[in-house]
Amino acid sequence: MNTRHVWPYRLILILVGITQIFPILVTLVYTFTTGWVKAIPSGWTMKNWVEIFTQHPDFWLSMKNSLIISLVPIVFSSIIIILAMYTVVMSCPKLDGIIQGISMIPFTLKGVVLSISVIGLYAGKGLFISNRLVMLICSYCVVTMPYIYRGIRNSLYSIHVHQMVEAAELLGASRLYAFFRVVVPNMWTGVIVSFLLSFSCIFCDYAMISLILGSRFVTAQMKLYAMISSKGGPLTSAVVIIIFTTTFLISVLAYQFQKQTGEAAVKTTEE
Amino acid sequence: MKKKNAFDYLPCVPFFLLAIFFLLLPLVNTVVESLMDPETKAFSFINYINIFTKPIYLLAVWNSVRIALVATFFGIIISFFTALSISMLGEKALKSFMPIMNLTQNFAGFPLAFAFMLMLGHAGFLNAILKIFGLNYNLYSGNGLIPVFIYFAIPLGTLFLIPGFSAVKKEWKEAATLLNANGAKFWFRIGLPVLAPTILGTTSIVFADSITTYATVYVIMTNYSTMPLKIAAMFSKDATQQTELGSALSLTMIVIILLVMGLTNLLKSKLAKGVEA
Repeated sequence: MNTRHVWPYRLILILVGITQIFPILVTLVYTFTTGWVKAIPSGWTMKNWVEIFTQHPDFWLSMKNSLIISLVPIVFSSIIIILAMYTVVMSCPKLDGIIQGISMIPFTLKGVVLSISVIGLYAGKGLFISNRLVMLICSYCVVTMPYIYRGIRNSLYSIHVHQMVEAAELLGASRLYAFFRVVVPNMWTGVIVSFLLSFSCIFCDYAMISLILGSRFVTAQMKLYAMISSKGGPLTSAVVIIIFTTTFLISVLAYQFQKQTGEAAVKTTEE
Repeated sequence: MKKKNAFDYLPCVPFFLLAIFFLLLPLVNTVVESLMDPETKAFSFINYINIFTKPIYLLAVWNSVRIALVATFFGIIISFFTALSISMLGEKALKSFMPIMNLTQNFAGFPLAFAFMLMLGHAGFLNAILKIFGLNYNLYSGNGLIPVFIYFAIPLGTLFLIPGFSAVKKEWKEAATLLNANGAKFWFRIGLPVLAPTILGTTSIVFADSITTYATVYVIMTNYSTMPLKIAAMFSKDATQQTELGSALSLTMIVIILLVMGLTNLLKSKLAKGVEA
């Protein structure tokens, strides 16, 4: 392609890129200011960063809460779906259609609607699942199902799972052994991609946790909401940047990890 | 092959338990509640009648649908041209632009709302610049919210559209060029029909994402009337709970999403038939 034809596409990408990055950049710059209500900031300072790292232990506690509440459901959900896919692969391929159908429902039925349905059914009934934390974790498991199912299924498809299991069985391995020692290690890429997508989905959630759990368990998003609605100054933008960087770093780390395991998987198959 | 027994199905039990207790039963319960008279608890369509006759609820439905439709429309157009540009510029553009999309995809909810308030709120610096030219941007209105919705539709739409573009083979472009078709002709006659299913699928995903948006709207305009905000308020512990009406409003929202999905699927199958013929 000659350069004459290339520039409109370049221009589109540059424009879209700039408008997409701009709000993040503005938030970042705001953290170094004393205030920014006119065309240019009123002054520059590092005070906000010093303050958030030294004077706000409650914020860091809320970050820890967010991490815990995000990781637990994703781990459960991954295990549940891997087990379900084990059945599909080993005993009943027909089941895949049903599992796929169910897994896609939370794409539509999530957030506010899912929370109010769960609350409406279980809240105040004195059952084990009437416990608000149990309700929340199970609802989060449901919400992450589409991502985790897709990631795991895609990797199952890409590795010719049936041939792999048959080969392992021919070599004398049991089906259980074949699945967990041969198939699952080759699925890590998929599992990690799902992990990554689900994580940012739960970490950024406010609707579900505030409806189901109320304000008893303060997560970073709740802290952020309180700060925006009360002060909303440069300190808040530092919190925004910290929360955002956390989500982003986790996805970057996961991508790196994915790359490594991807290469390792290729190497093992080559050997 | 080994004979199957019940034990083989054991591993999928947790999955179905989760689906039954946290998807099926809650949904059934919501349907039942939505058909209950709030006072007598008897079977009644009163909640749905209220939603479609009382202006306060109709407004919530209308606001949600309007914002989601407009934002999806512009979001998909921008995403289309972004994905098109990436596919035209090749591997290198993909490698340098994907990180931007992954980065901004994570910028949603409160952080996104805060950034827009910072730029375009009452005391936003962009608004301060606009005022110099005698203009004013009102973020705190239905129309003012639309750019925020378009912003988060772009990474979502682009990331879903890119795989579709890679299905449009380079060889086809070369063949079309050899047959004297220019770029525009290629995209209209070959590219778009091949991409149509992906575009339609992405449209329904972006629409569903927009119409269910809660946090972003909640923090910018706590009292603005959209379906997710109204539903949440009806189940909130701070006010009188209206679970029956809230259930009916939830189902209305689900039905709207399903309608859009059905419509895009219908178009998809129509197009698929056209391609076969």
